[in-house]
Amino acid sequence: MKPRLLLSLAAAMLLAGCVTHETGSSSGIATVNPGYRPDVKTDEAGIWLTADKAEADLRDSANRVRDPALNALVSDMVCKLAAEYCGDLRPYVVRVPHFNATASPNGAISIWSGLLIRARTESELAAVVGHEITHYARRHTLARFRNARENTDVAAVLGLLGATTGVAQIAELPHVIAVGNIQAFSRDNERESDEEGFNRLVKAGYEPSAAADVWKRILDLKKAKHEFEYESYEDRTVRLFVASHPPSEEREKSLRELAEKTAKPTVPPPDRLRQALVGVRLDFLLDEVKLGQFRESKALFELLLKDDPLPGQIYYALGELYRKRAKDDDELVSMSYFHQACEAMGAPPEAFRMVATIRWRRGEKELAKEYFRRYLNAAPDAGDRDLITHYLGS
Amino acid sequence: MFTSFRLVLVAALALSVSACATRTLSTTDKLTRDVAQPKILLMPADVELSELTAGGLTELNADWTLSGQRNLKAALNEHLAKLNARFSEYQPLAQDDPHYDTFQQLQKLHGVTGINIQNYAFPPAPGLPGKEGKFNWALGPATTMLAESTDSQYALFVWLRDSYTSSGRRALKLAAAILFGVQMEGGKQVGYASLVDLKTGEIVWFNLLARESGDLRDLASARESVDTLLTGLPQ
Repeated sequence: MKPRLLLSLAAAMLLAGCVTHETGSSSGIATVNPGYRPDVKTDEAGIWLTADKAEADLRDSANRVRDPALNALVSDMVCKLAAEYCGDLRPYVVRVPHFNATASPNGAISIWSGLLIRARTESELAAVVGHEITHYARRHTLARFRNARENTDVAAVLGLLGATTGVAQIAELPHVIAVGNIQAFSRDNERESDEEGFNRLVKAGYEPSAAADVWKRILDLKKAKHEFEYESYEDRTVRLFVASHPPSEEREKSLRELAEKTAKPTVPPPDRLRQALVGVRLDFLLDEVKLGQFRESKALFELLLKDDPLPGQIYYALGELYRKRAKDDDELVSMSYFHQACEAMGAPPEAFRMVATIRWRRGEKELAKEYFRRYLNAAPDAGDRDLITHYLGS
Repeated sequence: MFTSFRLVLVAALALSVSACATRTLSTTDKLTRDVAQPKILLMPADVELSELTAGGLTELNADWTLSGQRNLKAALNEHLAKLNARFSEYQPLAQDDPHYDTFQQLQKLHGVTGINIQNYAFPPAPGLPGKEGKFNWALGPATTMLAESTDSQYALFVWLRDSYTSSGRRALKLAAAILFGVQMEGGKQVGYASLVDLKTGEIVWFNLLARESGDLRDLASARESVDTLLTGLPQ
């Protein structure tokens, strides 16, 4: 493995020198015109057909978030960031508890719930969405497909020629180089999207430092997850070679440099994210709990607690995080979080019920009844009202 | 892995694919006749036509796919008419129709079930342990919605992926054959037709098509493909 890898890395480095870019575009493909649809005879039409199918699935998916306030915000944001594509871009919010957003070549944009709870301001969300809009505007999917086709074609021919030598490494080499080239091309697209996404962010009047801030957050959370550096040097080299995106550290640094060179907006940028999330955020937080990544989730929730207007939701999620891990004293810790939730703004009624059921199990029936009553006060139409009334009567 | 060894492997697989055009799994060879002439609901076919690039990527071709869809639809209608079957095409529902979600879910469920039957129910796959060698796959009771809203007893689902060798790939195949005497993989036609009893939700007949020939880009070839795909359809 090792000598082969070194050889291919060396070859990839040689080839990387040959890659040229046209000014302003990492792919050499023209920026998409407003209202564009590809001709049915082109390779791009095939890519759009796939994207149209995926979009229909997304539109009908039970995982799509249909909350009107949140959808109104993302639609408005997309048009602020790209007025010229306002009629071509269709944002969808989806309930996927990871940090990501995607842009399809046909103009469908999906914004994941995990991003929505990690972004702390509208500007931070706009930074990621602006990046995705650049993928659309610059037709990166088409560019990547053509690049992959060229590279695999060349590799197939060279691989066949290499096979005539009867030496396995020589026959394999073109394929390894192709993978490296394809991924390097993808990283260039990402850098272009970071840069142009940043320009869109600033032009729309958002906070310039938000782009770097969001990457800083992701790095901090990653560090919280891995308390020690577990990757060996070799692992890291391989990962850099095959990665589709530049390392987060690099992205934060370049975006920070761009922000430092840019004037702050003259009017304070809009920040409607928290208000738009009111109806759905608790669900998103509880999806995060279900990921079973205790350290990262705990770090995220503690970070959110710093200045959140609805800490009751976050205390509740922290309580759930401990209750579901169920190690040693976790039930006690979770109960203390549920108590904190009950006294904080934004407490979900379930926080009262959680305190009540844990207290009940511990034999503290009077205290439990008090919280069952508070639960029914907070949720008079609760589906389990009869059951709770039964507890109260016993 | 040594490339030429991989080529041999691919060639062996290709041979095993071409040995038989269709294979059938079924629970019956006759339609249940609770009504004198059971009606078959023809579901929207899921079809994609692609080009196999020299490097081995499958590149979806929109133009071919659109004509493939048209030809397939016409050929399916002709075939069922030839069999004297009573059938009707499913009419797509509006998004605010109360049945819309159930319909979409059934389409998706059949897609997933079809893939699993393809992958696990046909040898050389060992079969799923829970199935104990039986062919018993079902979409569940929600299919009654289709029966009631369209007055049908059966639904026919068709899924097809057709790929064609690009000129670059053809040149490469030729070179591989001359240099090493091996047969590189080319375009192929894979897919299935599946008949569902809407009363029980059971898949009563499943025909798997896998071959290195067949075409959907013109109507005559599409007819041949549909005749092959629907060989042995219960009547």
